[in-house]
Amino acid sequence: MSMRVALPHLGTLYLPAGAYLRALGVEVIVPPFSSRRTLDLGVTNCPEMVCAPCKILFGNYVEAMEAGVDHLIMFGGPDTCRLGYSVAAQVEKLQEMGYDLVAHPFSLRNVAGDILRLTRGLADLSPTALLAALRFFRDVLVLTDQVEQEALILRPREAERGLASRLRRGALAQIAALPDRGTLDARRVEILAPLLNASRRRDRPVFHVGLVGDPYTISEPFFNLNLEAKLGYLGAEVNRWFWLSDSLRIDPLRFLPGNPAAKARERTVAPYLGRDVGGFAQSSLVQAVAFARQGYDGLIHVAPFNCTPEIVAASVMPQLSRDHGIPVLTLTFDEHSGDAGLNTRLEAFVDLLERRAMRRQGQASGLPAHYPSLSLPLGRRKGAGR
Amino acid sequence: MTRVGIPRALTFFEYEALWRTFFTVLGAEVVVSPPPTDATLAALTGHATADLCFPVKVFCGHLLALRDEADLVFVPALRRMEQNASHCAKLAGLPDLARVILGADVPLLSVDVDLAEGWQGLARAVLTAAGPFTRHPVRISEASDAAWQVYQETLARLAGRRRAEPIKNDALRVAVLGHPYNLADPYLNHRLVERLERLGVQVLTAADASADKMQAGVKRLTGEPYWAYADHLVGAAGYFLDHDRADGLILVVAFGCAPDSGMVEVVTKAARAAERPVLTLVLDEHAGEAGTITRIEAFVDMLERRRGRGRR
Repeated sequence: MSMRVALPHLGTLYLPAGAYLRALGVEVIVPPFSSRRTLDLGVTNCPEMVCAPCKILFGNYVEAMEAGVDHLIMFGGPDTCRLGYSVAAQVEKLQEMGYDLVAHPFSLRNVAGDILRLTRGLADLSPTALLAALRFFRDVLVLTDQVEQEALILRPREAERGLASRLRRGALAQIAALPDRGTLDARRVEILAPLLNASRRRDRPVFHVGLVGDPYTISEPFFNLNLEAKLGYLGAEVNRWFWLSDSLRIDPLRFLPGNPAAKARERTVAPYLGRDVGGFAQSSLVQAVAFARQGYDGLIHVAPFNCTPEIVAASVMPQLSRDHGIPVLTLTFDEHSGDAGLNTRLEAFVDLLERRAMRRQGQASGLPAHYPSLSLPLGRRKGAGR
Repeated sequence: MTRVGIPRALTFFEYEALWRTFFTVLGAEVVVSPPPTDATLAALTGHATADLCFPVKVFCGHLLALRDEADLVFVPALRRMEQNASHCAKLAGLPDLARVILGADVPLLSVDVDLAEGWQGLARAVLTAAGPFTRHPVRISEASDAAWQVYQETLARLAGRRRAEPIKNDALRVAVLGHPYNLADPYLNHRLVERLERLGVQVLTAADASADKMQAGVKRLTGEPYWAYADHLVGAAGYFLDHDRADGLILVVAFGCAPDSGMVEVVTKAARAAERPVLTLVLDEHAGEAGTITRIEAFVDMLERRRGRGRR
């Protein structure tokens, strides 16, 4: 029996996940990218009070089933996130709609453990073949995130508007066509080169903005109304707190007795969120503090409307902003979000960053500055203060 | 004597006896914030995030009311009261919210309770709660034993009242279900129970179903509980529907409540299968009383008409 597997959209996750599943010998169907129709399918069939990500994911499931899938990977966050409770209801609803499916719930909090559990449910491979598939997954994931990161760096500096987005699309299409790890190794440079070598303008200031909050909202451009691109066009170099490839990186400090890595993380956020309240609220705040310490110009905190863990994070954000002297803009998204309101707020936010930078420069040199210089060296995302 | 302030909101309604006894035995004076008014909420303007749910906003209002009345404000962080069944993030992160509301100058007594960690979790919570008063193990164990006993007595008294009240045969029976704090605070729910009783309805609540009956209800409808109040909502609904004890259900939920977003759906589905009408009352700080009254009256009228048609 051949099985046809699909997973919902979470930004570019379809690339590494698709590569992995294909390497397992499973037929993968990529459902249509999230669209107005996807959302409408979710809004029509989900309870009113579940969050918008639940609704879009459900739309992804329906569109995957329409494409003839029989195994469905379904996202569910454990703990205090309503997504985890929704999975059972979503399966039931799909069955009511007449679809026959095997569901594979996948919680985003324990990525490594879930990948293994999922693999056992889908394929029976020798350890060597499994290891090869996992390596391919890791390499594609790292390369995909690299492409995303380079596009984020290029966008505020691109010589013609839309260049970064075009090059990013081209690179992602090439990644989608990679058959195996050998080809990936051979073509890595070729895939990244256009983004790295694109000509850059240096006549306007670039601000460094950290994106914190709910990972779904950060990763899914349909839901966040292309937030990253909008910020890029306004002259902000965006970095996300959540890169899936980071979660595969193993921190050796974790294995020392007493787990000093975790202790240090807890200490950073203790003044704001002293306990894990579920979802990704605490880890996102750890990175928010890190961004502030690294000298980022501003933070944008995003969350779906009514997201329980992120409301707690949003409540402590003003304190974090005051303590670290970093402007924070909290944006909530739902199925009614509109472009114009978002544009206005982002423009105002970047204006504010610009004014702050000018004031700082004026004080430093004693002369009014025409524009602030780049606050971080080109190509550096983390580390490196002023 | 140290004055310990306890906000009259959220889990206070379930654990009042426990906390009060514990702190009193330890030699503290317990100050409970006064029942809320519109002024309680109005004082919050500029302090709380707009997206917080209504009950948590009211809690924050109580915090402000305690600011000058207490030396120490008790704010528990309840995470899991049993394996795998979590409270929502706001209840788990309550001390962090409280610190934002109260600022740095009012000391908090915050206690993390996670019973999924077993007895160590409980012991740590008790030690933290007693911390500001004594470190003496005998005094702490005296206080916790006394508190536990009073708490058990309160539960037994509730159960006794359940058996004592006969079921009236002719009255409409409506089960009012929701998180205990939504039902216990008349300010939140516009005196819902009182209004129903004035309409001649016999009101059933989770207190009319025993703990094991509610757990059985949860098992039947959703399997394992996921949220802490699954028994009060899904469990009690399962019991009342299964035993044909209620003519209709009223679900009292706060706007935007994460646990209830899914559980209300489960209950509504089960009620539809059992052919019992459901009214979902969504609470928020904008609700006018009049709208609530109209909806309750319409619901009761509808139940009466259904019964008139012989479809009890």
